[in-house]
Amino acid sequence: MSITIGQYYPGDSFVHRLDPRTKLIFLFVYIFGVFMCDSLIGFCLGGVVLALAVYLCRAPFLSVIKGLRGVLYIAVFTAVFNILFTKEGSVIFKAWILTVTDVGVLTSAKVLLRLALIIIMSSVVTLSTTYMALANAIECFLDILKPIGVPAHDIAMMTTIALRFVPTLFDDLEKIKLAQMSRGASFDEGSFMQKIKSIIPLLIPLFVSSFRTADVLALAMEARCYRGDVGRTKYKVLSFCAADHIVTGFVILFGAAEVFLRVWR
Amino acid sequence: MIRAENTGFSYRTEKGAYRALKNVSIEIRPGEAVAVLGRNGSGKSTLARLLNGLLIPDEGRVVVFGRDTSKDDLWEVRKSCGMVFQDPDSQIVAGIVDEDIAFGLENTGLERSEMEKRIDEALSAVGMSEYKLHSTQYLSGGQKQKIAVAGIAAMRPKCIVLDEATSMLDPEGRRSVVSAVKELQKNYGISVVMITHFIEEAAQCGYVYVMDGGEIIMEGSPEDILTRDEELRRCGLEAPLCVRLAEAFGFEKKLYGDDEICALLCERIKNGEGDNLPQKITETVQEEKKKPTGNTGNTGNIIEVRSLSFAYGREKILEDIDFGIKEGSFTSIIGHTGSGKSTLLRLLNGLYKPLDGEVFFKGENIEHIKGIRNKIGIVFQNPDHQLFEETVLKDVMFGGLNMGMSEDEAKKRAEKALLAVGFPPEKNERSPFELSGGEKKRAAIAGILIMEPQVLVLDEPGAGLDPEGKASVLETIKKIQRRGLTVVMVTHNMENAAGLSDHIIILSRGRIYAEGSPAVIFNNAGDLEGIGLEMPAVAKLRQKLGKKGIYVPDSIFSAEKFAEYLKYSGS
Repeated sequence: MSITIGQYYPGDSFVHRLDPRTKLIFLFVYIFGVFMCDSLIGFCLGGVVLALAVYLCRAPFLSVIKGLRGVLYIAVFTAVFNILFTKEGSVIFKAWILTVTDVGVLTSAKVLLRLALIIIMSSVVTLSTTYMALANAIECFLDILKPIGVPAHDIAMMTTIALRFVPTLFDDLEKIKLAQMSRGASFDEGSFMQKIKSIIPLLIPLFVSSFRTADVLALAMEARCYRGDVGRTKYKVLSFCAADHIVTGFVILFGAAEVFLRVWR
Repeated sequence: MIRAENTGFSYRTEKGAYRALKNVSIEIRPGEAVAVLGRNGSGKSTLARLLNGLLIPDEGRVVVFGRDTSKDDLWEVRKSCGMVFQDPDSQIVAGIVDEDIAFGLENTGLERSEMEKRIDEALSAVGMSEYKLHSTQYLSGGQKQKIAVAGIAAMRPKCIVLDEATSMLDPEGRRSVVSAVKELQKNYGISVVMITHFIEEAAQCGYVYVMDGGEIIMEGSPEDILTRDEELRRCGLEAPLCVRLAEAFGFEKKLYGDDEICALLCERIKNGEGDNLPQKITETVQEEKKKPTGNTGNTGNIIEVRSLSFAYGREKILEDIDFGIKEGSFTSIIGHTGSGKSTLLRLLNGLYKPLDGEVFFKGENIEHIKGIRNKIGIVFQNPDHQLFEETVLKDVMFGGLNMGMSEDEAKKRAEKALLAVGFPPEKNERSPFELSGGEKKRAAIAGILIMEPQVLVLDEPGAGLDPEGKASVLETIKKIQRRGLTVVMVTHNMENAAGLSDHIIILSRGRIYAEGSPAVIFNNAGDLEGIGLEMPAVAKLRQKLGKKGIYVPDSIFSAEKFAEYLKYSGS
């Protein structure tokens, strides 16, 4: 089974058992920290933290990396672009209209490293957290905004359902694509306008089928007594335990360290 | 007790109100299993939705365990009467099994500790305990439906309504869902309402309602209702085989078990009735026996598959598939869900590339044939996945225009194709989204036929249709084949395959399990039920009779011919 980005991998590791709120806070602070870091020591620190998280998550990371290939290609492409178009610094290599400078190489390497760290850390979080748990965490954070009229529960429920139906939609899209290809449709030939036009036979059936799915889902939810968050209890109760406090403290230290390294370098 | 009293319901559409239910009264007693039968559009799903307050009747009233759905708290109504829908994919809310079952419990405000208990209880009641922490996405259709049943059962309702909940499943999935629901009825005294068009499911219930045109046409015990073949036919249904045989022989009308009817038939035939075997019948029977398998008008196979394999990542889907398809023949590829039959179909016209092996069309590897998809046309299972244009005619023209036909040419051919599939011409200018299930299916087939393929491949052409609609679409396909087109049909329905095809390939776990003529397959193919399939009722009976020394030719698959043959043969 291949693992794609954003997918949950069932397990019972230390990371799996953490409160989803902890994981979200962790991810945000980590991303902040990674954007802060600019020095070798800063990047090392980020790498060590990531390695620790990966180790504690106990998911099959080789297949995860494979699943991330697409995203990593984009990152590498961006980096190469960055190298070729940076004109500052001393020139290392020059041929035809291509110029490579030391500053260019360095900035690109940093961008690439940051992206890699962030993407892999995000996968650690999505691999170890179910959609429901993520939604619960989001709902909990948004609860603070409830007094000013933010519908926290609805946003959370919509997020869960959207995530739950992503694979279903992709399945449908694949089937629609095959059905139209059987009728001689092609999706990668012709001019730009033709390509745009060729999407219509995909989009309309996809819309029709997702509206139908939405209809049935709404009925099924109603039949199971759903009526918003009125009198609703939670199966997965969020509770901060010792491990959550430690992890949160740890990541705040990490963030502070990165800021320190950046400012007092 | 649930009671609908003289209820009526109208859907409001742009074109005015459409009256879906007229003066319907039903009653479901505690612990009882009730079936509601009827063709698509008979109003049975509307009735189901009245029963738990998803719809409120315009006329009359529905009282669910003492609560009037138009006056009382709908929430309480839905708590006591749960509902399972047809589409396994659309009704699961969460990504993990236990979280999905918890959904209803969360809505009713249950304590967490109680939830844990109920989730375990419900999962074990449907036999899915080991899947508690599995992702819902990778379950089979049957398993998804059992999770949906568990999600309702966990709320401890007094009644479960199954709205065609088994119609999208293969025989194995259907059996397992029905037996899970029956266990609930037995162990917890839950009433069950089965909205269905499977007569076998209705036979297992205690009381049967038959609907047509928004009204209850018949009601009574299965023994009483399911034996009235003629009246059932008027409602788009059909009595079980045993009843039709009993009728042909003038036995007492009863729902016989296989062994019972077998014993009765033996007795009658051995007593020497029907030495007067009329000439005509003998001829047709003889003819049918002599008819060679496959129309071998042309030498060589039109499609030749050689040591074909396919895998998704490391997971092998198909392994070492070898077969040939004769020109002009009708081949059925049969297999349970996950047997690899849909993948095989996609390999036939190069939509997927094989991992290993080759597919030949008229002796040439399809990889080297330009426009192979016009020559081997595939009609996919769900017409909604391909219909997109403003009108049916334009939609059918799509394939022709893609081939480079002129607008006029495409239009002419589209009209011809629609005529060939028996699509009502007055609806050519309608939007494809306004059609009935059977009409959509026909439009979808026409959308492939316009390319004038030499092989027509169909994935589960009867899916989602009621018995009548299915029979008539299949008949159309048979007609198209008789006109000279080679047809390949992928299905899990043995009954359909038996009557139509002259060549059958059975797949199990990605390999060919058996191959041959229907007669060979259904008489010596071994344990078909063991690989998640179902023997056709006629074949089952034939085997039983065979053991008692009564021979019925292998080539007879329709109940009528079967009865005729028995009636006139004698000892």
